[in-house]
Amino acid sequence: MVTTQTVHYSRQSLDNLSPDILSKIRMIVSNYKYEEGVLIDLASFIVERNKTQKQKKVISPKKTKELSINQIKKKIYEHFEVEDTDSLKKSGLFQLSVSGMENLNLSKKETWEKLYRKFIGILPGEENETSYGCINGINIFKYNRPWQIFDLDPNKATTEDIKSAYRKLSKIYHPDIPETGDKQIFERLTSFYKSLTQTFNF
Amino acid sequence: MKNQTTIYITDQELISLLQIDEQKLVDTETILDSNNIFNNQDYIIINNDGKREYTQIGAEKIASYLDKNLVVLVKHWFSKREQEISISIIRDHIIDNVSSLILHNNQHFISTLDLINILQTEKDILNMVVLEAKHTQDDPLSEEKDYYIEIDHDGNQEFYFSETGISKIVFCLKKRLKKEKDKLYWVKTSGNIFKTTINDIIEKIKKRQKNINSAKNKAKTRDKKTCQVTNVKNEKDEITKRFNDNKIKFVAHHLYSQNNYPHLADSIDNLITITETVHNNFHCNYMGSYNNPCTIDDFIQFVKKYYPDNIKVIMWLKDQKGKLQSKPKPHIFNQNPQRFLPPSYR
Repeated sequence: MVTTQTVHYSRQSLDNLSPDILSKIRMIVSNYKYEEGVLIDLASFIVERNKTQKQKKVISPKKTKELSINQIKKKIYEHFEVEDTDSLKKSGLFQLSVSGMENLNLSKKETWEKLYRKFIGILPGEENETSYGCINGINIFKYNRPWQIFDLDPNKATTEDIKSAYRKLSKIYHPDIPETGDKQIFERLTSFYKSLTQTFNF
Repeated sequence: MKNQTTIYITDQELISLLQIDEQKLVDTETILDSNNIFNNQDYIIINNDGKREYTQIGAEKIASYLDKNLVVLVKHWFSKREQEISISIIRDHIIDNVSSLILHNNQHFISTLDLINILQTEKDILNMVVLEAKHTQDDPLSEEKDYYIEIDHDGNQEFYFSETGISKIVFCLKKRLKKEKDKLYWVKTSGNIFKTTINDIIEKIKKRQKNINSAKNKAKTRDKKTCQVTNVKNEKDEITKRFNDNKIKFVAHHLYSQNNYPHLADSIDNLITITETVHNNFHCNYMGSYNNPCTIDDFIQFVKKYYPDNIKVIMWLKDQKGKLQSKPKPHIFNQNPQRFLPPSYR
Protein backbone atom coordinates (compact mmCIF):
# COMPACT_ATOMS: atom_id res chain seq x y z
CA MET A 1 0.00 0.00 0.00
CA VAL A 2 1.39 3.36 -0.93
CA THR A 3 -0.10 6.38 0.78
CA THR A 4 -0.14 9.76 -0.79
CA GLN A 5 -1.73 11.52 2.14
CA THR A 6 0.60 13.61 4.30
CA VAL A 7 0.33 12.90 8.00
CA HIS A 8 1.95 15.18 10.56
CA TYR A 9 3.24 13.13 13.45
CA SER A 10 3.53 14.60 16.90
CA ARG A 11 6.84 15.58 18.49
CA GLN A 12 5.96 13.26 21.34
CA SER A 13 5.76 10.31 18.93
CA LEU A 14 9.26 11.04 17.77
CA ASP A 15 10.61 11.30 21.30
CA ASN A 16 9.28 7.83 22.09
CA LEU A 17 11.44 6.20 19.44
CA SER A 18 15.04 5.10 19.67
CA PRO A 19 17.50 5.96 16.85
CA ASP A 20 17.47 2.31 15.88
CA ILE A 21 13.71 2.29 15.26
CA LEU A 22 13.96 5.60 13.43
CA SER A 23 16.65 4.14 11.18
CA LYS A 24 14.42 1.20 10.37
CA ILE A 25 11.53 3.56 9.58
CA ARG A 26 13.77 5.57 7.24
CA MET A 27 14.79 2.38 5.51
CA ILE A 28 11.16 1.32 5.02
CA VAL A 29 10.25 4.78 3.76
CA SER A 30 13.14 4.69 1.33
CA ASN A 31 12.37 1.16 0.09
CA TYR A 32 8.56 1.16 -0.02
CA LYS A 33 7.67 4.85 -0.21
CA TYR A 34 5.43 4.69 2.86
CA GLU A 35 4.52 7.91 4.57
CA GLU A 36 7.08 8.55 7.30
CA GLY A 37 4.63 10.26 9.69
CA VAL A 38 2.24 7.29 9.68
CA LEU A 39 5.06 4.87 10.47
CA ILE A 40 6.39 7.07 13.25
CA ASP A 41 2.94 7.32 14.86
CA LEU A 42 2.37 3.59 14.51
CA ALA A 43 5.79 2.75 15.98
CA SER A 44 5.21 5.19 18.80
CA PHE A 45 1.85 3.57 19.55
CA ILE A 46 3.45 0.11 19.69
CA VAL A 47 6.30 1.30 21.90
CA GLU A 48 3.85 2.97 24.29
CA ARG A 49 1.63 -0.13 24.43
CA ASN A 50 4.63 -2.36 25.13
CA LYS A 51 5.68 -0.09 27.94
CA THR A 52 2.22 -0.27 29.53
CA GLN A 53 2.09 -4.04 29.12
CA LYS A 54 5.52 -4.41 30.67
CA GLN A 55 4.41 -2.38 33.64
CA LYS A 56 1.38 -4.65 34.08
CA LYS A 57 3.17 -7.90 33.70
CA VAL A 58 6.73 -8.16 34.93
CA ILE A 59 8.47 -10.58 32.67
CA SER A 60 12.02 -11.46 33.55
CA PRO A 61 14.05 -10.92 30.36
CA LYS A 62 15.93 -13.87 29.00
CA LYS A 63 19.50 -13.13 29.92
CA THR A 64 22.25 -14.43 27.65
CA LYS A 65 24.93 -16.02 29.71
CA GLU A 66 28.14 -14.02 29.52
CA LEU A 67 31.39 -15.85 28.93
CA SER A 68 33.76 -16.02 31.84
CA ILE A 69 37.26 -14.61 31.39
CA ASN A 70 38.64 -18.15 31.31
CA GLN A 71 36.24 -19.18 28.57
CA ILE A 72 37.26 -16.14 26.56
CA LYS A 73 40.96 -16.84 27.15
CA LYS A 74 40.51 -20.45 26.06
CA LYS A 75 39.08 -19.35 22.71
CA ILE A 76 41.96 -16.92 22.14
CA TYR A 77 44.54 -19.57 23.07
CA GLU A 78 42.95 -21.97 20.56
CA HIS A 79 42.98 -19.32 17.85
CA PHE A 80 46.69 -18.67 18.29
CA GLU A 81 47.51 -22.33 19.03
CA VAL A 82 49.03 -21.62 22.44
CA GLU A 83 48.60 -23.08 25.91
CA ASP A 84 48.49 -20.07 28.20
CA THR A 85 48.85 -16.31 28.47
CA ASP A 86 52.64 -16.44 28.71
CA SER A 87 52.97 -18.34 25.46
CA LEU A 88 50.34 -16.06 23.89
CA LYS A 89 52.46 -13.01 24.74
CA LYS A 90 55.48 -14.74 23.19
CA SER A 91 53.60 -15.83 20.06
CA GLY A 92 54.94 -13.89 17.09
CA LEU A 93 51.67 -14.30 15.22
CA PHE A 94 49.77 -12.81 18.18
CA GLN A 95 52.17 -9.86 18.30
CA LEU A 96 51.72 -9.40 14.56
CA SER A 97 47.94 -9.58 14.80
CA VAL A 98 47.64 -7.02 17.59
CA SER A 99 49.97 -4.47 15.98
CA GLY A 100 48.49 -1.06 16.49
CA MET A 101 46.27 -2.17 19.40
CA GLU A 102 47.81 -0.02 22.05
CA ASN A 103 47.87 -0.63 25.81
CA LEU A 104 46.86 -4.27 25.77
CA ASN A 105 46.49 -5.00 29.46
CA LEU A 106 45.98 -8.75 29.62
CA SER A 107 45.10 -8.62 33.29
CA LYS A 108 41.77 -6.97 32.45
CA LYS A 109 38.68 -8.78 31.21
CA GLU A 110 37.81 -5.95 28.85
CA THR A 111 41.09 -6.50 26.98
CA TRP A 112 40.23 -10.17 26.50
CA GLU A 113 36.76 -9.19 25.34
CA LYS A 114 38.33 -6.84 22.83
CA LEU A 115 40.51 -9.69 21.55
CA TYR A 116 37.49 -12.01 21.40
CA ARG A 117 35.53 -9.50 19.32
CA LYS A 118 38.48 -9.11 16.94
CA PHE A 119 39.62 -12.70 16.52
CA ILE A 120 36.74 -14.97 17.49
CA GLY A 121 33.39 -13.32 16.80
CA ILE A 122 30.43 -11.82 18.57
CA LEU A 123 30.49 -12.04 22.34
CA PRO A 124 27.42 -13.78 23.76
CA GLY A 125 25.07 -11.03 24.87
CA GLU A 126 26.20 -8.62 22.17
CA GLU A 127 24.33 -10.28 19.31
CA ASN A 128 21.30 -8.06 19.01
CA GLU A 129 22.33 -4.77 20.46
CA THR A 130 20.22 -1.71 19.83
CA SER A 131 22.23 1.03 21.48
CA TYR A 132 23.91 3.94 19.69
CA GLY A 133 26.09 2.79 16.80
CA CYS A 134 24.23 -0.50 16.34
CA ILE A 135 23.15 -1.51 12.88
CA ASN A 136 21.62 -4.90 12.22
CA GLY A 137 22.25 -5.77 15.84
CA ILE A 138 25.98 -5.06 15.69
CA ASN A 139 27.83 -2.21 17.30
CA ILE A 140 29.82 -0.86 14.38
CA PHE A 141 32.41 0.76 16.64
CA LYS A 142 33.17 -2.41 18.57
CA TYR A 143 33.18 -4.81 15.65
CA ASN A 144 34.65 -4.96 12.18
CA ARG A 145 31.80 -6.99 10.62
CA PRO A 146 30.87 -4.97 7.54
CA TRP A 147 29.11 -7.83 5.76
CA GLN A 148 26.70 -8.30 8.63
CA ILE A 149 26.25 -4.56 9.09
CA PHE A 150 25.42 -4.22 5.39
CA ASP A 151 23.16 -7.27 5.73
CA LEU A 152 24.99 -9.10 2.95
CA ASP A 153 26.24 -12.61 2.41
CA PRO A 154 30.02 -12.28 1.80
CA ASN A 155 30.02 -15.26 -0.52
CA LYS A 156 27.16 -14.11 -2.71
CA ALA A 157 27.04 -10.31 -2.60
CA THR A 158 27.97 -8.45 -5.78
CA THR A 159 29.51 -4.99 -5.96
CA GLU A 160 26.06 -3.69 -6.88
CA ASP A 161 24.60 -5.27 -3.72
CA ILE A 162 27.29 -3.57 -1.63
CA LYS A 163 26.63 -0.22 -3.31
CA SER A 164 22.90 -0.56 -2.81
CA ALA A 165 23.28 -1.51 0.88
CA TYR A 166 25.61 1.44 1.40
CA ARG A 167 23.19 3.78 -0.33
CA LYS A 168 20.33 2.60 1.88
CA LEU A 169 22.33 3.17 5.04
CA SER A 170 23.60 6.50 3.74
CA LYS A 171 20.01 7.68 3.42
CA ILE A 172 19.73 7.21 7.17
CA TYR A 173 23.15 8.12 8.49
CA HIS A 174 24.49 10.74 6.08
CA PRO A 175 25.29 13.79 8.24
CA ASP A 176 22.96 15.93 6.10
CA ILE A 177 19.92 13.81 7.00
CA PRO A 178 18.02 15.49 9.80
CA GLU A 179 17.18 13.48 12.91
CA THR A 180 19.07 10.28 11.96
CA GLY A 181 22.22 11.62 10.29
CA ASP A 182 25.45 10.90 12.19
CA LYS A 183 28.96 11.84 11.03
CA GLN A 184 30.81 9.18 13.02
CA ILE A 185 28.54 6.35 11.93
CA PHE A 186 28.61 7.52 8.33
CA GLU A 187 32.42 7.68 8.28
CA ARG A 188 32.65 4.16 9.64
CA LEU A 189 30.13 2.93 7.05
CA THR A 190 32.09 4.64 4.29
CA SER A 191 35.27 2.97 5.42
CA PHE A 192 33.45 -0.41 5.39
CA TYR A 193 32.15 0.34 1.93
CA LYS A 194 35.61 1.19 0.59
CA SER A 195 37.07 -2.05 1.93
CA LEU A 196 34.21 -4.21 0.65
CA THR A 197 34.32 -2.78 -2.86
CA GLN A 198 38.11 -2.95 -3.15
CA THR A 199 39.27 -5.19 -5.95
CA PHE A 200 42.60 -6.94 -5.66
CA ASN A 201 44.52 -7.94 -8.73
CA PHE A 202 48.20 -8.52 -8.23
CA MET B 1 85.22 -32.25 5.86
CA LYS B 2 82.10 -30.51 7.14
CA ASN B 3 78.93 -31.28 5.23
CA GLN B 4 76.98 -28.02 4.96
CA THR B 5 73.60 -29.70 5.39
CA THR B 6 74.56 -31.81 8.39
CA ILE B 7 74.15 -30.48 11.91
CA TYR B 8 77.12 -31.00 14.25
CA ILE B 9 77.51 -30.66 18.00
CA THR B 10 80.84 -29.38 19.31
CA ASP B 11 82.69 -31.30 22.03
CA GLN B 12 82.01 -28.47 24.51
CA GLU B 13 78.29 -28.50 23.73
CA LEU B 14 78.23 -32.30 24.13
CA ILE B 15 80.06 -32.09 27.46
CA SER B 16 77.59 -29.53 28.71
CA LEU B 17 74.58 -31.45 27.40
CA LEU B 18 75.60 -34.79 28.91
CA GLN B 19 76.90 -33.10 32.08
CA ILE B 20 80.26 -34.86 31.99
CA ASP B 21 83.79 -33.51 32.21
CA GLU B 22 86.25 -33.26 29.35
CA GLN B 23 88.25 -36.28 30.51
CA LYS B 24 85.14 -38.45 30.53
CA LEU B 25 84.50 -37.55 26.91
CA VAL B 26 88.10 -38.25 25.92
CA ASP B 27 87.96 -41.62 27.71
CA THR B 28 84.68 -42.54 26.02
CA GLU B 29 86.04 -41.49 22.63
CA THR B 30 89.13 -43.67 23.19
CA ILE B 31 87.01 -46.70 24.00
CA LEU B 32 84.53 -46.19 21.16
CA ASP B 33 87.15 -45.17 18.57
CA SER B 34 88.31 -48.74 18.12
CA ASN B 35 85.21 -50.04 16.44
CA ASN B 36 82.17 -47.98 17.25
CA ILE B 37 82.54 -44.41 16.06
CA PHE B 38 84.05 -43.45 12.75
CA ASN B 39 85.57 -40.29 11.32
CA ASN B 40 83.44 -38.51 8.67
CA GLN B 41 80.44 -40.55 9.68
CA ASP B 42 79.96 -40.06 13.38
CA TYR B 43 82.24 -37.07 13.77
CA ILE B 44 84.58 -34.75 11.91
CA ILE B 45 87.96 -33.43 13.00
CA ILE B 46 87.95 -29.64 12.80
CA ASN B 47 91.55 -28.70 13.61
CA ASN B 48 95.09 -30.05 13.89
CA ASP B 49 94.64 -30.72 17.61
CA GLY B 50 92.09 -33.39 16.74
CA LYS B 51 89.15 -31.36 18.06
CA ARG B 52 85.93 -33.05 17.08
CA GLU B 53 82.36 -32.15 16.23
CA TYR B 54 79.75 -34.90 16.31
CA THR B 55 76.88 -35.78 14.03
CA GLN B 56 73.61 -36.80 15.66
CA ILE B 57 74.41 -40.48 15.19
CA GLY B 58 77.88 -40.05 16.70
CA ALA B 59 76.56 -38.03 19.65
CA GLU B 60 73.87 -40.63 20.29
CA LYS B 61 76.52 -43.38 20.33
CA ILE B 62 78.53 -41.47 22.94
CA ALA B 63 75.39 -40.80 25.01
CA SER B 64 74.21 -44.39 24.72
CA TYR B 65 77.58 -45.73 25.91
CA LEU B 66 77.42 -43.47 28.99
CA ASP B 67 73.76 -43.97 29.83
CA LYS B 68 70.96 -45.02 27.45
CA ASN B 69 68.63 -42.46 29.02
CA LEU B 70 70.88 -39.65 27.76
CA VAL B 71 70.05 -40.43 24.12
CA VAL B 72 66.77 -38.56 24.39
CA LEU B 73 68.67 -35.43 25.41
CA VAL B 74 70.80 -35.68 22.28
CA LYS B 75 67.75 -36.19 20.07
CA HIS B 76 66.09 -33.16 21.63
CA TRP B 77 69.23 -31.04 21.20
CA PHE B 78 69.50 -31.85 17.48
CA SER B 79 65.83 -31.25 16.85
CA LYS B 80 66.01 -27.88 18.62
CA ARG B 81 69.13 -26.89 16.69
CA GLU B 82 67.49 -27.93 13.41
CA GLN B 83 64.54 -25.70 14.26
CA GLU B 84 66.81 -22.78 15.16
CA ILE B 85 68.64 -23.14 11.87
CA SER B 86 65.44 -23.20 9.83
CA ILE B 87 64.12 -20.14 11.68
CA SER B 88 67.37 -18.34 10.96
CA ILE B 89 67.05 -19.22 7.25
CA ILE B 90 63.51 -17.82 7.19
CA ARG B 91 64.62 -14.70 9.10
CA ASP B 92 67.38 -14.07 6.53
CA HIS B 93 64.82 -14.55 3.79
CA ILE B 94 62.56 -11.90 5.35
CA ILE B 95 65.49 -9.47 5.72
CA ASP B 96 66.35 -9.94 2.03
CA ASN B 97 62.76 -9.25 1.01
CA VAL B 98 61.60 -6.17 2.86
CA SER B 99 63.18 -3.53 0.66
CA SER B 100 59.73 -1.93 0.32
CA LEU B 101 59.32 -1.46 4.09
CA ILE B 102 57.56 1.83 4.60
CA LEU B 103 56.01 3.75 7.45
CA HIS B 104 52.46 4.87 6.68
CA ASN B 105 50.05 6.26 9.29
CA ASN B 106 52.34 5.02 12.06
CA GLN B 107 52.21 1.46 10.78
CA HIS B 108 54.78 -0.50 8.82
CA PHE B 109 53.77 -1.82 5.42
CA ILE B 110 55.47 -3.92 2.75
CA SER B 111 54.66 -4.31 -0.93
CA THR B 112 52.73 -7.21 -2.42
CA LEU B 113 55.83 -8.41 -4.24
CA ASP B 114 57.84 -8.56 -1.03
CA LEU B 115 54.98 -10.36 0.70
CA ILE B 116 54.81 -12.95 -2.09
CA ASN B 117 58.55 -13.53 -1.78
CA ILE B 118 58.49 -13.73 2.01
CA LEU B 119 55.68 -16.26 2.09
CA GLN B 120 57.16 -18.10 -0.91
CA THR B 121 53.83 -18.16 -2.62
CA GLU B 122 52.52 -17.06 -6.01
CA LYS B 123 50.53 -14.07 -7.20
CA ASP B 124 47.45 -16.16 -8.02
CA ILE B 125 47.47 -17.84 -4.64
CA LEU B 126 47.93 -14.55 -2.82
CA ASN B 127 45.05 -13.13 -4.84
CA MET B 128 42.79 -15.94 -3.70
CA VAL B 129 43.91 -15.70 -0.11
CA VAL B 130 43.41 -11.92 -0.02
CA LEU B 131 39.90 -12.36 -1.44
CA GLU B 132 39.23 -14.93 1.25
CA ALA B 133 40.47 -12.51 3.93
CA LYS B 134 38.20 -9.85 2.46
CA HIS B 135 35.12 -12.09 2.32
CA THR B 136 35.21 -13.30 5.89
CA GLN B 137 32.50 -12.26 8.37
CA ASP B 138 34.92 -11.77 11.24
CA ASP B 139 37.30 -8.86 10.90
CA PRO B 140 37.86 -8.84 7.12
CA LEU B 141 40.71 -6.86 5.51
CA SER B 142 40.24 -3.12 6.01
CA GLU B 143 41.71 -0.37 3.90
CA GLU B 144 44.30 1.77 5.67
CA LYS B 145 44.44 -0.58 8.64
CA ASP B 146 45.46 -3.77 6.85
CA TYR B 147 46.51 -2.42 3.47
CA TYR B 148 46.87 0.79 1.56
CA ILE B 149 47.24 1.57 -2.10
CA GLU B 150 50.03 3.53 -3.74
CA ILE B 151 49.45 4.76 -7.27
CA ASP B 152 52.53 5.14 -9.47
CA HIS B 153 53.16 7.66 -12.28
CA ASP B 154 51.40 5.44 -14.83
CA GLY B 155 48.31 5.14 -12.65
CA ASN B 156 49.06 1.53 -11.64
CA GLN B 157 47.96 0.49 -8.18
CA GLU B 158 50.38 -1.11 -5.80
CA PHE B 159 49.10 -2.72 -2.64
CA TYR B 160 51.05 -2.48 0.59
CA PHE B 161 50.17 -4.71 3.54
CA SER B 162 50.53 -3.85 7.22
CA GLU B 163 51.46 -6.22 10.03
CA THR B 164 47.79 -6.86 10.84
CA GLY B 165 47.06 -7.35 7.14
CA ILE B 166 49.90 -9.85 6.90
CA SER B 167 48.64 -11.71 9.97
CA LYS B 168 45.19 -12.08 8.36
CA ILE B 169 46.77 -13.36 5.16
CA VAL B 170 48.94 -15.81 7.11
CA PHE B 171 45.87 -17.20 8.90
CA CYS B 172 44.05 -17.76 5.58
CA LEU B 173 47.14 -19.23 3.93
CA LYS B 174 47.63 -21.61 6.87
CA LYS B 175 44.14 -23.04 6.32
CA ARG B 176 44.85 -23.49 2.63
CA LEU B 177 48.18 -25.24 3.23
CA LYS B 178 46.99 -27.68 5.87
CA LYS B 179 48.14 -30.69 3.83
CA GLU B 180 51.42 -29.21 2.58
CA LYS B 181 53.59 -29.64 5.66
CA ASP B 182 56.76 -27.88 4.49
CA LYS B 183 54.97 -24.86 3.02
CA LEU B 184 52.77 -24.63 6.11
CA TYR B 185 55.84 -24.60 8.35
CA TRP B 186 57.40 -21.83 6.25
CA VAL B 187 54.27 -19.64 6.30
CA LYS B 188 53.65 -20.23 10.01
CA THR B 189 57.24 -19.46 10.94
CA SER B 190 57.33 -16.39 8.68
CA GLY B 191 54.25 -15.08 10.45
CA ASN B 192 55.75 -15.87 13.83
CA ILE B 193 59.05 -14.11 13.31
CA PHE B 194 57.95 -11.30 10.99
CA LYS B 195 57.36 -8.68 13.67
CA THR B 196 60.57 -9.27 15.61
CA THR B 197 62.57 -9.27 12.37
CA ILE B 198 60.97 -6.01 11.24
CA ASN B 199 61.61 -4.48 14.67
CA ASP B 200 65.29 -5.45 14.37
CA ILE B 201 65.47 -3.84 10.93
CA ILE B 202 63.83 -0.66 12.20
CA GLU B 203 66.28 -0.50 15.09
CA LYS B 204 69.09 -0.87 12.58
CA ILE B 205 67.64 1.90 10.43
CA LYS B 206 67.40 4.23 13.41
CA LYS B 207 70.94 3.37 14.48
CA ARG B 208 72.14 3.96 10.96
CA GLN B 209 70.53 7.41 10.91
CA LYS B 210 72.30 8.15 14.19
CA ASN B 211 75.61 7.08 12.62
CA ILE B 212 74.96 9.26 9.58
CA ASN B 213 74.27 12.30 11.77
CA SER B 214 77.39 11.62 13.76
CA ALA B 215 79.50 11.34 10.56
CA LYS B 216 78.00 14.63 9.33
CA ASN B 217 79.04 16.39 12.53
CA LYS B 218 82.53 14.93 12.29
CA ALA B 219 82.83 16.09 8.68
CA LYS B 220 81.86 19.64 9.66
CA THR B 221 84.50 19.65 12.41
CA ARG B 222 87.11 18.24 10.02
CA ASP B 223 86.29 21.02 7.53
CA LYS B 224 86.43 23.65 10.33
CA LYS B 225 82.87 24.70 9.55
CA THR B 226 84.02 26.21 6.31
CA CYS B 227 82.39 25.70 2.93
CA GLN B 228 84.95 23.68 1.00
CA VAL B 229 83.67 25.00 -2.32
CA THR B 230 83.29 28.72 -1.65
CA ASN B 231 85.68 28.95 1.35
CA VAL B 232 82.97 30.90 3.17
CA LYS B 233 83.35 30.67 6.92
CA ASN B 234 80.75 31.34 9.53
CA GLU B 235 80.02 34.77 8.12
CA LYS B 236 77.18 35.84 5.90
CA ASP B 237 77.63 34.70 2.33
CA GLU B 238 76.68 37.04 -0.47
CA ILE B 239 73.40 35.46 -1.46
CA THR B 240 72.20 34.87 2.08
CA LYS B 241 73.23 38.40 3.01
CA ARG B 242 71.21 39.87 0.19
CA PHE B 243 67.99 38.17 1.28
CA ASN B 244 68.19 38.01 5.03
CA ASP B 245 70.44 38.46 7.99
CA ASN B 246 70.43 34.88 9.15
CA LYS B 247 73.62 33.06 9.85
CA ILE B 248 74.95 30.91 7.06
CA LYS B 249 73.80 27.36 7.26
CA PHE B 250 76.37 24.67 6.60
CA VAL B 251 75.45 21.19 5.52
CA ALA B 252 77.42 17.98 5.15
CA HIS B 253 76.81 16.86 1.58
CA HIS B 254 76.91 13.17 0.59
CA LEU B 255 79.22 12.90 -2.41
CA TYR B 256 77.60 9.58 -3.28
CA SER B 257 73.92 10.02 -2.43
CA GLN B 258 72.92 8.29 0.76
CA ASN B 259 69.87 6.50 -0.57
CA ASN B 260 71.57 5.03 -3.59
CA TYR B 261 74.91 4.29 -1.96
CA PRO B 262 73.75 3.24 1.51
CA HIS B 263 77.06 1.52 2.34
CA LEU B 264 78.83 4.91 2.12
CA ALA B 265 76.15 6.90 3.95
CA ASP B 266 77.88 7.01 7.33
CA SER B 267 81.43 7.35 6.01
CA ILE B 268 83.11 10.67 6.77
CA ASP B 269 85.09 10.26 3.51
CA ASN B 270 81.81 10.55 1.62
CA LEU B 271 80.95 13.91 3.21
CA ILE B 272 81.98 17.45 2.44
CA THR B 273 80.95 20.65 4.20
CA ILE B 274 79.29 23.24 1.98
CA THR B 275 76.82 26.06 2.47
CA GLU B 276 73.15 25.34 2.16
CA THR B 277 73.06 27.65 -0.87
CA VAL B 278 75.71 25.66 -2.72
CA HIS B 279 73.94 22.46 -1.68
CA ASN B 280 70.63 23.67 -3.13
CA ASN B 281 72.32 24.88 -6.30
CA PHE B 282 73.97 21.53 -6.79
CA HIS B 283 70.89 19.37 -6.15
CA CYS B 284 68.10 21.55 -7.48
CA ASN B 285 69.73 23.40 -10.34
CA TYR B 286 72.64 21.22 -11.43
CA MET B 287 71.18 17.75 -10.72
CA GLY B 288 67.56 18.71 -11.33
CA SER B 289 66.15 17.55 -8.00
CA TYR B 290 67.08 16.26 -4.57
CA ASN B 291 65.56 12.96 -5.65
CA ASN B 292 68.06 12.39 -8.44
CA PRO B 293 70.95 10.20 -7.33
CA CYS B 294 74.36 11.84 -7.46
CA THR B 295 77.98 10.67 -7.42
CA ILE B 296 81.29 12.31 -6.62
CA ASP B 297 81.85 12.77 -10.37
CA ASP B 298 78.72 14.94 -10.58
CA PHE B 299 80.03 17.09 -7.77
CA ILE B 300 83.50 17.39 -9.37
CA GLN B 301 81.89 18.52 -12.63
CA PHE B 302 79.70 20.99 -10.73
CA VAL B 303 82.72 22.53 -8.97
CA LYS B 304 84.71 22.64 -12.22
CA LYS B 305 81.85 24.44 -13.92
CA TYR B 306 80.92 27.00 -11.26
CA TYR B 307 84.04 27.28 -9.09
CA PRO B 308 86.88 26.47 -11.52
CA ASP B 309 89.43 28.39 -9.45
CA ASN B 310 89.08 26.09 -6.46
CA ILE B 311 91.77 23.63 -7.54
CA LYS B 312 92.26 22.57 -3.93
CA VAL B 313 88.80 21.14 -3.53
CA ILE B 314 88.93 19.44 -6.92
CA MET B 315 92.18 17.71 -5.91
CA TRP B 316 90.66 16.74 -2.57
CA LEU B 317 87.56 15.35 -4.26
CA LYS B 318 89.69 13.23 -6.57
CA ASP B 319 91.52 11.79 -3.56
CA GLN B 320 88.20 11.03 -1.88
CA LYS B 321 87.01 9.31 -5.03
CA GLY B 322 89.98 6.95 -4.85
CA LYS B 323 89.31 6.21 -1.19
CA LEU B 324 85.60 5.63 -1.66
CA GLN B 325 85.96 3.44 -4.71
CA SER B 326 88.18 1.06 -2.79
CA LYS B 327 85.39 0.42 -0.28
CA PRO B 328 83.65 -2.78 -1.26
CA LYS B 329 79.99 -2.47 -1.99
CA PRO B 330 77.74 -4.71 0.06
CA HIS B 331 76.79 -7.87 -1.76
CA ILE B 332 73.12 -7.07 -1.47
CA PHE B 333 73.64 -3.70 -3.14
CA ASN B 334 75.00 -5.34 -6.28
CA GLN B 335 72.20 -7.84 -6.31
CA ASN B 336 69.13 -5.77 -5.69
CA PRO B 337 68.97 -2.09 -4.77
CA GLN B 338 67.50 -2.02 -1.29
CA ARG B 339 65.39 0.77 0.08
CA PHE B 340 67.56 0.69 3.19
CA LEU B 341 65.85 3.77 4.48
CA PRO B 342 62.12 3.92 4.01
CA PRO B 343 61.18 7.34 2.57
CA SER B 344 59.25 8.05 5.73
CA TYR B 345 62.50 7.91 7.68
CA ARG B 346 64.48 10.06 5.29
